[in-house]
Order: sequence, then C-alpha cells, then structure tokens
Amino acid sequence: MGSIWTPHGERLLRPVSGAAEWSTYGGEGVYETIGQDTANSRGTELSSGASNVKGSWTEVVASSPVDAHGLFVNLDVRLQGVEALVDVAVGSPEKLIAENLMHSTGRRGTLAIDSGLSYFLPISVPAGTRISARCQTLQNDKEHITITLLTHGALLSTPLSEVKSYGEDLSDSAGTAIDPGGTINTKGGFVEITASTTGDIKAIILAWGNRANLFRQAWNMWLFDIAIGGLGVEKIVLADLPMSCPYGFPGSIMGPFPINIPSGTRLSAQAQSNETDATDRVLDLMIYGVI
Amino acid sequence: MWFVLYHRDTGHPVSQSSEPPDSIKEGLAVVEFLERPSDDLMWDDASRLFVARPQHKFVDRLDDLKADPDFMGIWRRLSDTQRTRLRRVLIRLLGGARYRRDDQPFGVMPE
Repeated sequence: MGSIWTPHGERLLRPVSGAAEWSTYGGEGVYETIGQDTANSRGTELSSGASNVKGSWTEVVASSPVDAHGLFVNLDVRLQGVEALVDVAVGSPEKLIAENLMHSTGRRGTLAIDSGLSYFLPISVPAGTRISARCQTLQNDKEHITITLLTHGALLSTPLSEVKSYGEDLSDSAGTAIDPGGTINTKGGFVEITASTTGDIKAIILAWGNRANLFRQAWNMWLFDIAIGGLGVEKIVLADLPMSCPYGFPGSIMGPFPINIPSGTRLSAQAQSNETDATDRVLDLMIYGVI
Repeated sequence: MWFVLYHRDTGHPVSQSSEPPDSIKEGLAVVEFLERPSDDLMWDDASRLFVARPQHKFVDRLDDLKADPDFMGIWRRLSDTQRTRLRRVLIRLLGGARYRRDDQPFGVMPE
C-alpha cells in the first residue's frame, strides 16, 4: 500500500495495516480496528453474566497498536436482537473508560430488524494499552464488539478521558423510559435522567433504545429535548432531536455534542410523538457525559 | 421520593424529578410519591396519578388463518397428515412474524 501525497509533497496519511488511504480532515489521522474475529466475520464475542448481570471482562486487544485520540465502539449482535449495556475498560485490572453503552435493536417478532451501532467516543488511549469489554443483556444474549481506533487529527482537538453513563436501568439492561404522553404531537414533560452529574462534562452522547418492543408500530416519529436544571426550571440545551421508526425502532445514537456541563447538574429529557399508543410511544434514552 | 410538577388546570406534566422544586409557578402544582414509578406505570393527566400502562395481547397468525374462509375451504379438503405438514411449513415460513399484536393487521409487512 503506497502513501498519498499532496501536490506540495506532504504525506497525507501514514499507511497502517487495514487502514484506508484517506486523510481525516484534521490532518494525518489513521484508523486501526481491533477485536475483529475474521474466522467468524464478526467482532469479539462478549457474554452476559446472566440475565441483567455483567459478564466477565473479555480482552479485545492485549496491546493497542496506535495512540488513539478517539474510539469508534462498534456493536453487533446475531439474529434475535438484544437489549444490552456494554462497558469498555483499559489495563489490568480493568479501569472503566466507557460504561453502559446501550445497544438496543429493533425487533419484528423474535427477529432483529437491524444489528449494528457505532459509538464515537472522543477519548484518548495510548498505544500499548490492553483494552477489554464486558456486557449485560436482558435475555442472557451475546454481543460482538470491534473498536476502531482513530489517531490524532480529527474531530475534537482535545481528546478526553472517560465516558460516564446517565439513565441506565440495570434491571432491564436499558435506559430511562421517556414517555411523550397520550396527547399527540405535544411534549410530555421532562423526566429526570440524573439528579446530579459527576465530573465536568465536555461533550454528551445520546442513545435511544427500543425497550424490547417486539411489535412496535410503523412510522412512529418523535422529537426529543435534552435539558439541564432543576424541576420546573429546566433549560433546554438540545431541542427537537428527531427519531423515527419506519418499521420497528432500531437503536440510535447522536453525538458527541460538544457542551460544557459542570459537575452536579441535573439532566432531564422530554419528547413528543405522532404516536399515542401507551407502549409504542415510549423510547429508552441514555445520556453519556464525556469528561 | 419522586415529584411530578403539572399544570393545575389540565394535569399535563411539566417535569418529574427526584428533587423537590425550589418554587412553584402560578398555575402549576406538585404531587409527591414515595418512589420513582416503574416503567409499567404511566402518568395520567385526568387523575394526576400514575396508572398501569395498558398491555397489548398477542395473536397467532395461524389463528388468523382459521378465520379466513378461503384458507379454511382448502384446509378442510386436506387429510390430517397433509394438515400437519402444511402447518409445519407455515410455522417455518412465518418464523419470527408468527405472532402479531392485537391492534396490528394480519399482513406481515405494511402494504
């Protein structure tokens, strides 16, 4: 694989194994994927400990190949779909760097109608680091994970260190239910995601889940607001983020959104929907704070 | 504790929280519950309370076929062995779409 050079003789990309020969827009970034199981055309398999119990740590890579300034955590499942929360850690013993990444697939009966999600986490992991992962799932399913490491030169110029989760419900391996209520196309009131954040947040990532709804109606649509502040004095920081399910709701992710939220802040969310069915109008939401 | 701030005239919720409000604006009211309600409960504007979320029933699409006169006309002409074989084929064919919710149509995919 050769290098790509600009007309001025500057090399745009440092070729590494498996990396595409295109520069990231910020400069000399490269991608390196770890955890792939090429014998089975999937990622490293993670097993839930039991229903809604974290499994043991599984090594994704013993020694990461590059200095990463961003991680794409790619989650895939098999046929049946899953409600899962995935942790990512570094070192031995494991130290959490991202917790409770929600993977909630759409379903049509007992079949998943989608499978993959990818979180971009703007955090740094130096080369030579052991990276591992674990998961818990609603029905003792399995997850598959690969991580694409991004070197310097793209997106946030100051990579951060940790991703903390808010709104997880460990009893069903999912997030906080956001109910738009029974009035069509009307915001249903804020629901607290956390009473108090921990750590000064520099960016947030949002994830939505299907709530293991096997028979969700087609063409449900939503608009979500994310707010900070106390009960009754919420200040919306992200307004009217759209969600939809053409035919069953596949889990979805937005962000990271760069934003400063000081430690100790209450986070809440509300939604409106064109659906009033008491089951189908509800989605799970998680908020991840990158610190 | 769990607090729900709502419009006094309509009962429509403004916000829910584990912390009480510092103040309550004109036209709003707050109700306090001992704990955060589970997901199988939902706020009811009329009663200003959390009520049970209605649950759907599920229908076997094989039972839908029993209500189809064209299908049953053919079915009655089959022997018991042929019926058993056809039923197995239908189960394999429907797979994860064998069951539907009671408010969803017979068709597996929307037209």
